[in-house]
Amino acid sequence: MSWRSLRRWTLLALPLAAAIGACTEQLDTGASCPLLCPGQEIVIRDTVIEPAYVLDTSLVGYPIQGLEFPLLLAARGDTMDVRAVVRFDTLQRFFTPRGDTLQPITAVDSAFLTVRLYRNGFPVPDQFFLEAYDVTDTTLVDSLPLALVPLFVPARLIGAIRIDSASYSDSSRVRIPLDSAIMRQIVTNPQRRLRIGLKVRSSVSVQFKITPYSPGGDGPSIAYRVSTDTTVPRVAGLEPSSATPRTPVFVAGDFVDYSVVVVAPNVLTPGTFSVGGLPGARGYLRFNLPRWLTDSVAVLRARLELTQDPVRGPSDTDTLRLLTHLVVANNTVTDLRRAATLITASGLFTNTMRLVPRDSGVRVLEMNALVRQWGLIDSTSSVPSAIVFRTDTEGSSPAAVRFFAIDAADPAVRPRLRVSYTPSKIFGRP
Amino acid sequence: MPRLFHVRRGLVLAWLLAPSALSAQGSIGSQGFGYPAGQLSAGALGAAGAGAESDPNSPINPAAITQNARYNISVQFQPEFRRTSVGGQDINSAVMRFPTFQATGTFRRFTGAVGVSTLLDRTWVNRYSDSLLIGGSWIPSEIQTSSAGALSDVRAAVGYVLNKHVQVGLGLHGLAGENRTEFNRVFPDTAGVGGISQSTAFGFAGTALSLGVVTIPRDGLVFAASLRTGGSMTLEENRAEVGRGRVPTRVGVGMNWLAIPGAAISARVDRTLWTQMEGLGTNAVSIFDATELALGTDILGPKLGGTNSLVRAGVRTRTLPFGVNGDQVRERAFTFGLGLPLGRSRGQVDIAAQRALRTGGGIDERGWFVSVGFGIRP
Repeated sequence: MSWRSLRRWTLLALPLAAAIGACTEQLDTGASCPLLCPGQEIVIRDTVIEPAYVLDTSLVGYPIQGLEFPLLLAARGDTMDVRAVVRFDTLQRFFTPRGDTLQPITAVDSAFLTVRLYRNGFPVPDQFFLEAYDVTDTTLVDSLPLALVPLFVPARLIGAIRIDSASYSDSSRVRIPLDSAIMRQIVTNPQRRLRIGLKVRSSVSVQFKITPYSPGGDGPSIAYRVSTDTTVPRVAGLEPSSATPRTPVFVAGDFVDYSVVVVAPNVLTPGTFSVGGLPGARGYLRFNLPRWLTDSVAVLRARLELTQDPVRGPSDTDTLRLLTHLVVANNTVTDLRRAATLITASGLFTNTMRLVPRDSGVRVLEMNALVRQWGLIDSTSSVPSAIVFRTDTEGSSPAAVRFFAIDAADPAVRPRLRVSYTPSKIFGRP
Repeated sequence: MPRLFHVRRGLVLAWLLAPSALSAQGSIGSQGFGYPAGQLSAGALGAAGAGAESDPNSPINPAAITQNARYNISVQFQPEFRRTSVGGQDINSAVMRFPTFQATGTFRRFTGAVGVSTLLDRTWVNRYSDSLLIGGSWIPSEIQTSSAGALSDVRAAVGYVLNKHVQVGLGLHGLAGENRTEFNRVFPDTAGVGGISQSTAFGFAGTALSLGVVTIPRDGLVFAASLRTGGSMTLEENRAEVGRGRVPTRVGVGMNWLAIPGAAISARVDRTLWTQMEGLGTNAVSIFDATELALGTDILGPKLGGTNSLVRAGVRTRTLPFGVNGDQVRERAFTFGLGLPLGRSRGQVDIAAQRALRTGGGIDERGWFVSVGFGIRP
């Protein structure tokens, strides 16, 4: 046999051998495991950690003033009165007549405020009024909206519109005519600003939401004619603006529009923490998990069990989503109210619960992914293990949920953390 | 030149087409640190390894390398197809191995060899499901585990021909290898239970020394014996030492007898002290010393290109080092093989088929080995 034959044999034998192996791939061992797969079983232990955490508290005042979305307008008898303020600190005070040069505006006519109004599930009364008040007072502190409440008086009413349920179309743009004489005084006085307080009124409970300002969005705007000459275009689509506060810089923009909660039910009670309501409350929970749990075992399931305490009041049958956020503020942020704004997006490592305020019972928050993440964080990290609860309707709905806290009088309803874990083990070593 | 190019391209292509090694740990042959491939060449395996003590291509006896031609390169490919019977259900799996490679060269009375062979093959994948009681509820889970790698025996050996009746040899062994294991247990998304995922690299390191002798007291009769004595061996887990033991000592004795012209009978006894590896594993692994008995024959076959081919057959019984549920696994094998000389003995293709029957822990396993060895003597 020659070298040529050797090559032939070789070339024949190798593909043959490859083909033998290629057609037999079989991975699934079916019934032979776990009998023939020792060392792959895991031991599971269950434990309950009580108290589940070291701190829980309700932090009130969310969203931060000016960040409400949407803005709520509500008048529900003695239980609820929520209004809104929209600032127009910059007005158009000059115009250019056709064929002429720039001139100051001296005449104002046909002024109106436009807002997008939607009901968002609340019944529309047969008849209701949307009222606009001139609540301009630059001497007041910007961050105290309740200081504006005395300005919602008839003497300052600059416009109103009556809306019938038959003519109301949900999410429609509503024009509130504004008093031309008052508007002329405001526009022609360069020192004058325009801050409009919005209030809804009806003989029965009424509640609406309006779209707040956003650049290029569908928020409130005003329009007015500046000349009797109809060929002169009107000032239209003038968007809100705010000139104060001047310090800190860049904050003024947040005060373009905001809610004024005049009356709202108090859902805070001792031995509980609340989430939602008006003004919006957030629940802040700080954990101090044992080191063995985060460092030495593999957590399979970690469930925070919270006992819901029923809340009676407005919208107590609404379903709300309880969002969970991971706090990323470090320990240098000692103001918890501020720390509760430095958070991740919701749903990261946890589930979202759907709750009805008037319900009660044990609610479960799945936290195993979160506990694992905390285990990955350097133990010297200055970021506390904390979460924040808030509702998806924060600041725009009176609906609130309440849970018994770690200092609840009845130990049976205190929060507890149920953990199932497996002791750490290296698989694969026979 | 173009033809040579085509040959090379064909070899590379064939190699690339070869599937990766896939098998299941769920077999009784690959428990513990893996399956002892036997360190037998395809030629020796055809006769059940009975002549391995004097087979130059089986990296057992360093004295046997003197039997090789002046230069020799041998490589082997060995797929195994298994069927494991558990609880009335048959599970098929397959593994592909390249168990031996060796190059030898001769200078006067000395023969040197370097090679690598698989001592323990631990390549498997398994997938199955079970349910776990977590927080008072039974939660279904899917498990997928795998191991890839082997403990290999890298040997540098030298053989010396004392005279025409006696050859001796010395081998230095480095035992090295890696097992890369993956463990994944996943739960349904709706269960709210986090899965477990783990990747671990286990590394072996050890040394050993082997001594061998081949004697030919008279024409047609060969006795051979070898001893591998182990040094320490460590097991590292992600580069941290987690176990320390010894390279298992092995002692073997073999005999070849040309009983009648054209037919040789071989026998071999081998004992490996696998329990010396005990410190490497956990308490859960059951390790046993293993004994191997083999009986085989090589018969001259028809001439191919002027050189005789060989027809081989044999029977082998042995115990495996790693048990099932504390029970030692026994393996019986029936083998058949062909040796095809090529290019006026400048090359050799050995093909062996082995039917192995294993029992242990009340479980039966059957496997077919197909072993193809290539030898080139440039």
